Amino acid sequence: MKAVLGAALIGLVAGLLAWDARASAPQTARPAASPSGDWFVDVAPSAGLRFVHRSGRAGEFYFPEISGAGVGVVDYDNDGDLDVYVVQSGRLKAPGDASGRSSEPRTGQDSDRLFRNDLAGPGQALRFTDVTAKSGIATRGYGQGVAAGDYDNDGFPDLYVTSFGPNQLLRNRGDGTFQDVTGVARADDPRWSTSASFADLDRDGWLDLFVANYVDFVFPIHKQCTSRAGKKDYCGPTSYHPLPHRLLRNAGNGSFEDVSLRSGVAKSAGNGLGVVAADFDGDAWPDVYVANDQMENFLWVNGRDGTFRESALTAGLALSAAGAAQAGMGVDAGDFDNDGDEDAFLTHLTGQYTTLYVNEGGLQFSDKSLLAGLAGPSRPMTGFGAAFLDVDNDGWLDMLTVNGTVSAIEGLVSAGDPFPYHQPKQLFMNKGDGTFREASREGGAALAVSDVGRGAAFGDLDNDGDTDVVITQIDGPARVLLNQVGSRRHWLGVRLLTGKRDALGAVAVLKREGERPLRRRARADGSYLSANDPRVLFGLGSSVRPGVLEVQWPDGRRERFRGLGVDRYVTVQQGQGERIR
Amino acid sequence: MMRRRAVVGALVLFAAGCSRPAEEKAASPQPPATGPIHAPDGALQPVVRPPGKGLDAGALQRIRRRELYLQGLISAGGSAAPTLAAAYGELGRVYYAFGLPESAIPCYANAARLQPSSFEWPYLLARALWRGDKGDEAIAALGQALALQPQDLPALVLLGDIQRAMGRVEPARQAYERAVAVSSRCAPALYGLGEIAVLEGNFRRAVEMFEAALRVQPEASRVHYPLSLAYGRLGNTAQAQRHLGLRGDVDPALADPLYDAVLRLNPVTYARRGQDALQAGNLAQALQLLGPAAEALPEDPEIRMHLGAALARSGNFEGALEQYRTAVRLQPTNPRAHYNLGTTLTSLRRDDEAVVALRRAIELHPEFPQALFNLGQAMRRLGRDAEALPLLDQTLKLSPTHEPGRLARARVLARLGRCREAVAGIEEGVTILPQSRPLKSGLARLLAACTAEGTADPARALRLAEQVFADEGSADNAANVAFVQAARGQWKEAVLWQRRALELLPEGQQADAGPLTAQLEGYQAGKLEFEW
Repeated sequence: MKAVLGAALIGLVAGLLAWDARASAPQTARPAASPSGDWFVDVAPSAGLRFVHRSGRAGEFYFPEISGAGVGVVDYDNDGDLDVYVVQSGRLKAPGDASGRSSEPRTGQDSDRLFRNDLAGPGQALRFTDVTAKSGIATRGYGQGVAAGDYDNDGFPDLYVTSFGPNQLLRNRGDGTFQDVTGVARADDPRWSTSASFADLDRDGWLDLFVANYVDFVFPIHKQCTSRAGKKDYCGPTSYHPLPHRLLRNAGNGSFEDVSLRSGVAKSAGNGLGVVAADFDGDAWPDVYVANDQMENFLWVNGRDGTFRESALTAGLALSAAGAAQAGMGVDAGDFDNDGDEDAFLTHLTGQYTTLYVNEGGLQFSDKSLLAGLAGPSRPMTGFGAAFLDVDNDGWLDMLTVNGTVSAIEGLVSAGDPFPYHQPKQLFMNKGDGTFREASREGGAALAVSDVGRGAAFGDLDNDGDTDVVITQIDGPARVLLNQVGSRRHWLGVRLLTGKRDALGAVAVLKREGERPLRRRARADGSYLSANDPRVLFGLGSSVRPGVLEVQWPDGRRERFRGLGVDRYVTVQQGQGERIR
Repeated sequence: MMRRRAVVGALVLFAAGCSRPAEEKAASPQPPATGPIHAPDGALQPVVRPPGKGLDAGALQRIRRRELYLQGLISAGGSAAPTLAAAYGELGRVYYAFGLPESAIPCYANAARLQPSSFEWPYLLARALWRGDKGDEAIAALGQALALQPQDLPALVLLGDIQRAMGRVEPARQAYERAVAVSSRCAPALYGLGEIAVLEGNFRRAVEMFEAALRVQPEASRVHYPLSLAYGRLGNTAQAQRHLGLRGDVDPALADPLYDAVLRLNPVTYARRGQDALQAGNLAQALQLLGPAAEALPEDPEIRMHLGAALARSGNFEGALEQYRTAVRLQPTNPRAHYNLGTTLTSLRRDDEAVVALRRAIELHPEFPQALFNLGQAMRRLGRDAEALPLLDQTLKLSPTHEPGRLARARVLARLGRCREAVAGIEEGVTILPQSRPLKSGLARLLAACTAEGTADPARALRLAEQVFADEGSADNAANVAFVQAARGQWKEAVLWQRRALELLPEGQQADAGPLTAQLEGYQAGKLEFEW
């Protein structure tokens, strides 16, 4: 226990030092709680996060143009605050080689951007500095997503950047620079990859990598689709063939082994867009859930022997309650009903709905979207980036979805809109009884603004104890939605470390007398093409009662930590808690 | 009030003295093509003419023609209410068909107001409102429609669907139950009741409703999945598995001529529905939709390819060839068009011609696994093994789980006497796909009859073949055991197994009896004749 508190204090002191060091930097006024009472305020321009996505669209309606690109919130410099990595799509041009995919370097305006968070202290004004040039990051292909995880266990999170074209593993050298180690790590996938997840799937202490691939679109087989109004429009995924996903096992020596076939993962092909690793069957081994676009989703259940069994159909996670394949895009897992297991939700196309799958135990899930009050309000939207997050820190996980269509919205077309695909974002507040109410209006202007939304990364950017959101959109500026309401209630933030790195996949359960236990998973995956804050946040409502934290580490061991306090971030280290047998 | 009276008077006069004006006549003088079409009556809604920037020229022309006709009627004054209603309604239909439901809404609303006895307008209004995500207003419009025709099944089912989609279980149930009371064979309503039962956790009732829907429409494969889950919840794993295997994408359907007539106005919609039907495996419907779509949009290569696919899957390969040739003519740089043409030619065993088309497909798209495989197959059949082999190698490089490619490659290698490589390739396939019965059967045949290089292992071959048959007791798998027995010289056993294969041949596959019988005669005569 002393050791834990010690670790927490060290973290705190280190953080304070870092903040002090930057105290002389010019400050941007922190947006006060919005006078209008908006729950989220977009501070991207004032915080210096200036990024405009470029899809490269030039009227040909190439399929990748409509997929957008993702964003990651990742503390790359280990200074205690989340930095932002934004993926750029770039130019989309047919290559001269046989691959039929983009492979050119993304440079200049077409390059990805890394923004360092120069936060002066918890709750202080956000200020970002573009450090891309210094970072040495050089990416190729038509950018798609980013996953974050410390694959070499050196204590600095690395990045895996996916593209329509080559993927790249960028090793964080720990000095603010990154090295492209794709070749030596054998981590490439030349196909159209989308979301990826770092997870210790074999529980050997090294993060493996699951890469979702999408469809076999290449320039030579580009199809031309037509809107109802008779104009060119984007085709859907069913115009092409799905691709098998890839599983790369971390060999622990700086390289990965492609075990896609041996593990069983490559035996099925899917239009993968979103991926989340979580323990869906409660056996303490991580499973992998893939949101497939317009076809059955996959649930790869961990066989604990290096193999995975696809079980989504029998688990009830493949199709909607009506038996329809939906257009799975964004996905997340979390215990929204606080009953101690992982539920899941996915965002879908207009006319479908955001689907909430409730874990009934025994690897059985039920689509409860209708009764939960999600189906009706989400039906008009095409959802992409999404997550469970406790917006108001009341202890119940809410949902936020980032929307934007993939085929032209007819009303906007006829009104002459130059890019008629935009929609507002949506916020659904958990009522604590298995249902949600739409609270997009309370969310404010930042949610109401209509974007062609795609990526969304969730994390506490200003360390004030609530979840903020960084959003990307096609051919538009990135947004930084700062949460204005969560920190009005009590909270506890926990960084879970195994060795030097974030213990992705660890499950923390906060137990408090007289309250339902809160179960949260350390994760960076989920959402769409994006990487999230690996820390866990517990919303405590009005209670300041201290709790006991029980952690199930990724290797299956369990420990208990006490005396963590409230309204602060603490770091807990594997091996320094009370062992639970 | 005064104004309304005046308008009504004018309408009556018009009705008394005139026939329905022709569109051309009403179109003169031409009103401006922008700005709203103002109603003759303050109670009616103005129709805001869409700018039409996103519409193609043909669609815009049809829309403008209808707008002009309506504007002409209004300008002329004196139209009878039903005439004006029809003009509004027709404009609403065209707007809706070309993807402008928001513009269609005031048209249908006005038509409903002008002709309150007509069921059609409030019903189509409800469709447009729902398409525009105005659920409550759509429900109100359906209320108006159902007051006129309380037993209209499409309206009742739509009402149930909207209520359910909005999470209102009880009103949805009432609507579906009303539909079932009108017709106990209303499959979409039975299906809806099943879904509601699932929501309520009443899985017994869900099974009852889903089974009833399937009795009425066995082709409605969409029902199988929720039925499977419901059986699973009741602990009936056998039925759960059975229905899981039968799941598909064909929805329970209900004839809806009013709505279909609207959709028919736009060939793009038609083509999309045809493509959906094709993907769901509903070939008859696909052909019905894609044929007219191809006629209406003759220069669209994608529609040609979809129509070609529907024809090919229906067994009309010559018809498919015609469509694919047209697609190639329309888009000569499209590798899929050449691929489809080549694949259809291989189905007709016109391998020489197929080779030309497939080669062109690969020139245009060098990493096209299916084209590589089909070209390899054509080469193999033409006896050009040396050319087939690299094509099949490349297929497997791009797609290691390609079962037919792996089997074809093994056959080529066996024919070349390279049994060791043939066996190794299939062994690798079995490692990758341990559940694959075709690969295990192929391996059994190789081990039984590929005798070069000392790879034969008849005992293992028999074990494998028998294991595959135990997994799936099909005619093919019985014939495979017979083959292995014959290769071992066990002619009596071979004859028994071959007879079993003939017995297991499903009805409707009697065409396959010929080759099986010929093999049987060979075994009876102690002869094993085969070609790799």
